[in-house]
Amino acid sequence: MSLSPVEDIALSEFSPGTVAEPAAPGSGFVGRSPGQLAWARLRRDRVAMVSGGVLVFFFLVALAAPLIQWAYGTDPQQQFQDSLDLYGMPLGYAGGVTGSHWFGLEPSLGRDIFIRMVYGLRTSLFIALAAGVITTVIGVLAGVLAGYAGGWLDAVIGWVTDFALAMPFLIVALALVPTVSLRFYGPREAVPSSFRVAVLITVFALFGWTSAARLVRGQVVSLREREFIEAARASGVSTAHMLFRQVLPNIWAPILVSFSLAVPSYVTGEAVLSFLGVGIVDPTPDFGAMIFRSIHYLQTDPTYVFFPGVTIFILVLAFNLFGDAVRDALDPRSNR
Amino acid sequence: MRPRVAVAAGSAIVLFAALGACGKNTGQGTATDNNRTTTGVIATDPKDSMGPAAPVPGATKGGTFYVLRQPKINHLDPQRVYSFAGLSAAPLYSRFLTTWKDDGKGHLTLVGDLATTPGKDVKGDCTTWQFTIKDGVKFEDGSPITSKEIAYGIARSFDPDLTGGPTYLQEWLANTPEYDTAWDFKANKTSLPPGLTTPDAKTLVFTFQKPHCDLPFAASLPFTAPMPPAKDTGVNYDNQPFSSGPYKITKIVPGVQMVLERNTNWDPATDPVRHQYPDSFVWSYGADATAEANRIISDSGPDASAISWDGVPSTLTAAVAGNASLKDRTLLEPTPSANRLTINMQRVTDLSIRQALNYAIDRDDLIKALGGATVASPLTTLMPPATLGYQQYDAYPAGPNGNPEKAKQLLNGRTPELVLGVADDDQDTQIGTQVKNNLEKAGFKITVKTIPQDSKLDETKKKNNPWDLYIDTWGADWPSGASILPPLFDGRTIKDEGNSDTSFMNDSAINAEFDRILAMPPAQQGPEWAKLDKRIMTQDAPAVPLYVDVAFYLHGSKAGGLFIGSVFGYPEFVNAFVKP
Amino acid sequence: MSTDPPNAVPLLAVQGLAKHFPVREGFGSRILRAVDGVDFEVRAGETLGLVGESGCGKTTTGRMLVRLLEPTAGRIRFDGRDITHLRGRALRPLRRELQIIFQDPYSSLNPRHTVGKIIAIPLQANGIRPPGGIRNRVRELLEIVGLNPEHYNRYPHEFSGGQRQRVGIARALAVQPRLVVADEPVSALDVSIQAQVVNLLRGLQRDLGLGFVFIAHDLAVVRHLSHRVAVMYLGKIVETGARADIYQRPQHPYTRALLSAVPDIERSREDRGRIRLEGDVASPLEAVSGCPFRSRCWKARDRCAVEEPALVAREGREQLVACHFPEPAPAVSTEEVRGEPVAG
Repeated sequence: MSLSPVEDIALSEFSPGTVAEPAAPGSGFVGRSPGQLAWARLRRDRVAMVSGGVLVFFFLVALAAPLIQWAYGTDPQQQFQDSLDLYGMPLGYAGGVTGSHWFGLEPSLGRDIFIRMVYGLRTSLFIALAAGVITTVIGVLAGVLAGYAGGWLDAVIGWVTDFALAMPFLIVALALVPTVSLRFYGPREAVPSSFRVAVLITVFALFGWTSAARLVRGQVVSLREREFIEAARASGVSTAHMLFRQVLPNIWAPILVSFSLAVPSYVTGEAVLSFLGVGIVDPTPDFGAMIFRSIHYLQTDPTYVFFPGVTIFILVLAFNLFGDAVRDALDPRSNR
Repeated sequence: MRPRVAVAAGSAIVLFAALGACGKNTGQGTATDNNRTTTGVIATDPKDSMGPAAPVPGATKGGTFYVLRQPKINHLDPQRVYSFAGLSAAPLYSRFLTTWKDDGKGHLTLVGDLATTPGKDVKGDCTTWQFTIKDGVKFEDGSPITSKEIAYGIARSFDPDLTGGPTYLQEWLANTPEYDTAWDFKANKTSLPPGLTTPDAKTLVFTFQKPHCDLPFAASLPFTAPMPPAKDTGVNYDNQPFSSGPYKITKIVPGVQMVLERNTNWDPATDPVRHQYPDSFVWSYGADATAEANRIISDSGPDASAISWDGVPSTLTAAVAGNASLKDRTLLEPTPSANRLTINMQRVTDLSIRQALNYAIDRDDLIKALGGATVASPLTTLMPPATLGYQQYDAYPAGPNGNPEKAKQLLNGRTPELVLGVADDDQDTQIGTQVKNNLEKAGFKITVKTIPQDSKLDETKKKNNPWDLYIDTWGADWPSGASILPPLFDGRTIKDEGNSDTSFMNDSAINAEFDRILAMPPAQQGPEWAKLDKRIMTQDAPAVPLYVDVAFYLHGSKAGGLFIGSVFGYPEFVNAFVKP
Repeated sequence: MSTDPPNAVPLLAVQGLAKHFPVREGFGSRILRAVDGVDFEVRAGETLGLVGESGCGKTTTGRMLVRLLEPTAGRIRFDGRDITHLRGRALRPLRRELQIIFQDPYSSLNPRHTVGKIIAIPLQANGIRPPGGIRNRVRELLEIVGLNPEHYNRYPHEFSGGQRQRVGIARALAVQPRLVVADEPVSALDVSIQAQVVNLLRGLQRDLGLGFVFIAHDLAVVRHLSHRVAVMYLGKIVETGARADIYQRPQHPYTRALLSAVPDIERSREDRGRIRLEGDVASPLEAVSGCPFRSRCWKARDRCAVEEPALVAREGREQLVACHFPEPAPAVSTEEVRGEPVAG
């Protein structure tokens, strides 16, 4: 009997219990998960840390709005029309910037811009985050079900996705919001801003889940063919385990990126809707409404444009940069 | 690379904004003459009604005159014209039974336009009016204008399909507000409505069952424009009206442009008011008010002979009013459009609450919120100062910023909950907030309810509307109290929809006063209306007078002869010319 | 050479197993006959090597054995029980008896789980509570496959290919199966590592009495482990028999060709010619008349085109072969004595 090289080596080397042990990276008993590695990469990225810091700052400001109001001393509805000239424009320098009005006053109604921005930020971020979370959850569920189950379920979900994508978002929003408000509130009742916020989030949720669903479905379809999925099946795991323990942990990277890019689009989307009158209406402070109103005053009171304009610019930029950095940090190649 | 680009863009924004922010605003400004009064007479001398109109100093023939407006004019059909833009444009291509000679400063004379005089009160009791039609008045194709064509124009205004225009003549001839059912135009095309007769080609007679001393004024509205029956295309007439004025409409591109050119068959010798200086007028639609204002400020090319019909937007008034170099290109006049906070008396039945509202109102801050002195001027009477015989008074003197304490006293501890209905567009919602914050200082609890913009007017005109307060505007059709107080406060006109008496006030004593004053000769009515104005405010307080609109317009350096009409408060083109 | 275990019922018996895939081509569909009727048996504690080139259907067969794929036809009997179309509830107990090791160590482990979790999942999924706890069992298994038991908290990306494959083996062993399908478990590994893993499997079989179906494309790799070998071509088994018979006295021309490809120092002295197969491989989409190998067989004759040869014992020999003109036995078999006992 001749020996193949494989057999040669096997025979010469075989002895139970000894194994070549390569040096494993890291120390200690607990290995570093791909998530922890990604986090470490993110920490090293300066752009990510700065933009992340900016976002955290904005969130804190939004959360602490009542506290800031208490310290600042002015509430968002207070009018200071005595500080306006007879055209309704703020007196003094730069649109009324003073020690007690850090960002100046609004023309016409004479309300404090700084505190209105703080509250407006709060509303905008709340809506954008809530919408982001809801649409991501729905999208992930739809995508995972469609991708994993395949067959008719995939076809039905695909059809629903196409339908939602085909519907003109703006027109539906414009039609839906007043109708729904009328349904719940009579002609003499004011529609509280909490209701408007809820309706806005619902409108976004109806349309926004599709991109996450498509993304996740694609990921799941490619994941389905991976051998560890088959291995799990061969081990006899339940479908719930398969979806939540095997599939989901492998797709949270694109989910996270999709979420971080969706949120700024909701910030701007809510601004547009408020401008069109179907979002948040006066007197509730709103970022988008302030920006759109201020554009008319570009020639006569540029400070009014400046502060909210710069803020939304920074906010959206920070979100986008951070989202990109997250995507880079989660690069699958380094998950080998 | 991306963060650097972002920083660069951000710095650009900062610089740009900072450039505009450096100056200090010390609060100087111009304001209009709020107390300019209007005087008006009905011409008695036939010479006043004869042409040609006095030449405009400095005017030259030629050129194209541009009028910029964002929305297109709703109706060009003279029987359907009632919007301010329509009233502004109609004299270019149509003539009426009577018209106003206007110096743009409040001095008005009513003269005959197609008629030789402003009308003869045949029996002296205002029930029968006779007009003689001038010789030499022609349509754009040279065919003569006779009483038949004028009568036909009035007759077709009864057609329920041709809605939109004023309804005085129809209601007075038929003696009922339901005029379209009283006389069916479509069934009676060859005959005339009751009371309207044309004994011959030169004579037109109105016979009313009740006295209507204001007929000469009413006849100045475009619904007395003539039309040959053969040219009546019904609802399509809007597309190409047949001209009787100095210009004819030669081209309409829907929503984009309307071009008018000289009507060579218009004879200036027959026209006491109009001129024909420019070769053509072009109405150009689409640009928004801010864009229009910026174009005219830059004054280049065709914009030099243009006017922005939308006026200076409130967001730019500070810049324009503060710019000395623009001063001789602006028009600033008060208008007769009066704005009031209407109180729905069906719901707010307690007089003391209505009076408290009047004490609480802060007109100064409201005007600041509207855009300041070039947009609005405070009003404490129901009739605007532009009314003939006007008397200033303040039934609830509270100072320019209101008197919340006095209001609270009247309320005596109560905190009435009232719903203020506003249109859902940005501007109106802001005013709603302004009024709410203002009234709440006096202890009221105000809920601001938004109403979809296109239906707000219709909804508040419904008899059983659910709101307590809403802001209404009224621009009288002629500067007499007769066209202000009775339409707005006579409860006998209340119907289910389409009300002008949106306070739903119905005080029989006041109604009797309306009848009494209307029966007086027009020249004597003025002071009586003024007295009645004060009495209504004191006894009923059906509204809170707020402000009159101020006309603030910008035109190019070559646009000459423009003035703000004293009757409606909008630009008039009868004297317009293009400077070389 | 071949072992005859005491019990007569084979652990695994496969008869006429087939898997057809519908393939859409334009408007119609054709059938891909991935596996087209295979028969074989595996006895307890024994290894069957299943060999063939890529695309011959061996991986598909392996998947069907562990019921990851649904057979289109045929029977699979495990321990005498028909498991061919078991599903759901009924399938669960089978998962404890029949397991699989996958080929690609880089995709057969979930990158997000620690290896400890990977190994523990089959235990948890099947409700197995080992005495001493799952964690101890995991460490035990790690030790059995030759890994440091303290590394159960490490992630797959911290291990080499060979080590990952050991994890895969540990996972398969966790439920104490009686038969393991090893789907090309060493094909993705370096040659030197291959040997280690093969040895590990051999040791496990000896210590735990496991049966194996060892799928490979290389006859050399399975030789070390297999008691019996089955050779597959285009979805059918063309020869099957005891190890010695296949390696020393192959009857099917294809088997001979495969053997000639094995780099063998001894052989090259005598049998210089490496058999190169020429001709086109018949497509598994088309039903082939006669012998599927005839398009590449140098011995093909008219009869081969007409009559499909059955897998039977021919010419008084022990192995089963599907050929009308099987190879004759070599005159002298010099290698016969050289072999060492395989299992036992």
